[in-house]
Amino acid sequence: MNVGRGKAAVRALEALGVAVTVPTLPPSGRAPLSQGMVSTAQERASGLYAAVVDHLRAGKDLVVVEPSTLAMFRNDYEHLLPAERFDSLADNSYEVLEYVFGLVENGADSEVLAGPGGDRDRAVVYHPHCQQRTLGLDAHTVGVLEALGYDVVTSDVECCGMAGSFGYKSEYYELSVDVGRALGSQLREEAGRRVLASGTSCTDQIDSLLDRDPVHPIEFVAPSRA
Amino acid sequence: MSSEESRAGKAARIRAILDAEGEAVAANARHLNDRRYEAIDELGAERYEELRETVRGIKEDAIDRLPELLATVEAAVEDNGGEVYVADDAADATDYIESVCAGLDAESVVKSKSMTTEEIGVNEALEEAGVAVHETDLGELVIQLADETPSHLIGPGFHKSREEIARLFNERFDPEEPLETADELTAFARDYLADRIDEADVGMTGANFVVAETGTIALVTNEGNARKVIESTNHHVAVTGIEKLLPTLESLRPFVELIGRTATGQSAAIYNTLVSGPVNSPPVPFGDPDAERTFHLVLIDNGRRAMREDPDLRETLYCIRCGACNNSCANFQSVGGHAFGGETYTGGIGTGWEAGVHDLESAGGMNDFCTGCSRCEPACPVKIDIPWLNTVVRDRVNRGADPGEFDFLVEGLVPDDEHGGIDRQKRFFGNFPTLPSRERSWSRCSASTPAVTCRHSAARRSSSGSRHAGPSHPGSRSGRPSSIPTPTRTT
Amino acid sequence: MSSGRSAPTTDEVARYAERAAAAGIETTRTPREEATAAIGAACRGETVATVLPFDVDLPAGATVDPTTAHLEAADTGVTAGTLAVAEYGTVVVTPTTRKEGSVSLLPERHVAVVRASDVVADMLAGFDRLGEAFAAGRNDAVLVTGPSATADMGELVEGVHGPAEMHVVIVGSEP
Repeated sequence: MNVGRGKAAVRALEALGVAVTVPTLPPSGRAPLSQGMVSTAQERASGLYAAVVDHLRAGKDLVVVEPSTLAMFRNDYEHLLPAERFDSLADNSYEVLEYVFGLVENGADSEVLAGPGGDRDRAVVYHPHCQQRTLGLDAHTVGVLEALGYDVVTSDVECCGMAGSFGYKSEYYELSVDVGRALGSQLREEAGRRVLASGTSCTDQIDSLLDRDPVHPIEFVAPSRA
Repeated sequence: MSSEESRAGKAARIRAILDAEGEAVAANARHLNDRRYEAIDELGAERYEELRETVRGIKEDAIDRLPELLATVEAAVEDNGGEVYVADDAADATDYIESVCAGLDAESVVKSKSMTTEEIGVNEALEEAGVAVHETDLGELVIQLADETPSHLIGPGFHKSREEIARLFNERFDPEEPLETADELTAFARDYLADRIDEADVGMTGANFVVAETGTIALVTNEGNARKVIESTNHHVAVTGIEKLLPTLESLRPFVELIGRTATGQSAAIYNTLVSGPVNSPPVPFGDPDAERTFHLVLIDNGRRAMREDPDLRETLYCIRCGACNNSCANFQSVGGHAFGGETYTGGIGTGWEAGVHDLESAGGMNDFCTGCSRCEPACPVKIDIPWLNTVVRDRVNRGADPGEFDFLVEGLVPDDEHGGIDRQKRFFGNFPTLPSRERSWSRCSASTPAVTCRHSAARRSSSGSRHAGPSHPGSRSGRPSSIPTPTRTT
Repeated sequence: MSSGRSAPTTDEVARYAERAAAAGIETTRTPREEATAAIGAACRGETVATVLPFDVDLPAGATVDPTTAHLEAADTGVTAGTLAVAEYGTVVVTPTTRKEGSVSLLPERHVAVVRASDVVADMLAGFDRLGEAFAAGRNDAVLVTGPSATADMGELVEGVHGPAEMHVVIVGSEP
């Protein structure tokens, strides 16, 4: 479990003046949906909605760190939940860097976040998660990084190849590695840059392909632990 | 690929295709994908989205009104002096086409590219009836000579490199000078086909779109072979699916503006040919000016009417067969349509087509190559939710298996709702997040990263952009964010 | 924008020339008095042609209403373009019994002659015009946006089953 990202997200948001609650939530249904288990995914979606509805009614925003989970809320749940529930969840959920972008655009002090300087790299290469890219949300991450003074290049592949559980299945392992090769060679060309990746699956793929140590952008820019 | 293959068998099959075809497919698909992004950038994200909305609306309406449009096109084509035949299935279609050829004493047919004719197997049927069939589209010629199935929706021979094509031609034709360059291969093919085109009795084309009101077919090509096939014969048979019907000539316009871009990155295909057959263009070689010219529009059902009634598969009928979903798919780029494909159709949308016109087994054998990464969604000009189609088919395949066949790895641990026959591996992965932690030997689990909530009053997105705020971004640079959240902070 | 009946702005013809060039189509702009010479200059080798349905003479050497032999020996085919779309560089050829279909397809070079007043701004305007033509009974049309090409042999090759060279002469427009 990527606890580090969650903690970094909390630190960053609190530093930007946001009051943060971290509930324990049931799974979103991404895993069964990916295996075609639609009934199970529907159950999970209802369960997730029930667990957040009070927060939503209290006017809270739902900020999500894992892009594939966010894609459930903003995309796939349209098929799994009644329209009004999907709308309320989709309208009020945000990718974490999208949210940070909004905060900064609306006046929050970005100085509280970690910019380049000292022993921190200025040059980064960012691999957006595929579903995040489809939602148009890679731009917000790049926006935040550039606002902080980083020099950002973005990868130019459609998918890292891991795709959830796909790359873990023995029959698809070689295909997954082949897909990852394209990303691998792009990242190798950017050997001098720190690698940032939003997705958990992507991080695993980049780790195993390249021996680079990718970090989630929120962990990268969060203020250090006090 | 059969869904009954063992995992090791499947891995071996994929490995073989990766080795033999991966490089050529990747080069072709990635090139077209890159060009697609450029063409959409040239159009501008806003105009692209407008066109998509427009064509989506036209297709929804057209499929809704399909029975009416069928009646309209029949009247219009007959008014023009042609004939329409609506074929229930593949056998019905090929029988009809054979009878047209027999009635004309046709000995040979020249064809331009049509995936629907692949679907119904018309080449084999005609050959069996003693009618020679010559493909004039170069990609189709390549696979005809190699006796292979198409590996891509619009580039049937994309799995072959130039060197492999040269080897194929040199083996089959044994020319005096071995062929090597693309120019030489093309020139050879053109000459080889020229006599066959001249001698052909019947020209067969597909149709990318059919305008019901005027009885017009639209052929979208780059080579000019569809035009040549029509200009060279007295008898034209156009074969396509019933879902291609559009109501009016003006409804065709936005498709002409989009299909070149999403298919190959061209602002428009080189030839958008509108034919309201029978044409009055004198066929070459010029002969008797009073010779009868005929036009037969064969519209294929073959499962499409049933797809129209199916709330999930219906969307497949909006497909304009541009191949953008093939090109934008990372898995497809690597492995191509001989793995990520069924009997006829390839790539993400191929699953919907195979399920609708062939069977669930064929669709099930290919659809696991769709990982739901969603990159095909913004690529699809008609906004089909291709990952959802693949999920629905996967669900149907899960439900289709015999429960008695499987051991449940996690029987008793699985709090799901699924049919007992679901593939064991799928059930394990599908329930992974809910398994007790001792069952999970690795820490990554994308479904259980905690979501974080924040207290804000009246947080809203500032723009009216859709939640899918995603016109395709250029590959290496993210565009400016198209929507900006405006959280307001409590003090 | 222009209805197509009145003279289009110089901009639209200039835009057409620019977009056509991007699509691999050469263009010549000529005032009406010099049109015949301009068409001649655009032709190469043996030329076959179809009568232009507006008041412009074909160059002297062009064979009108060619036989099969003429057509197959020709290097250049000249036809009218019934309309052109500036945004795309597209020129529309209307096949009729006068053989525009084959004359614009078989020779290696196609020269399409279009009146400046038939250059419209965009596809929407183009389809409006096509709709009018179809309603009047002329319902075949080829929208040509470049020389014939394929990438099926591994790289781009031009002149596959259609002309390798496309040239559009725009008449009634100062260069």
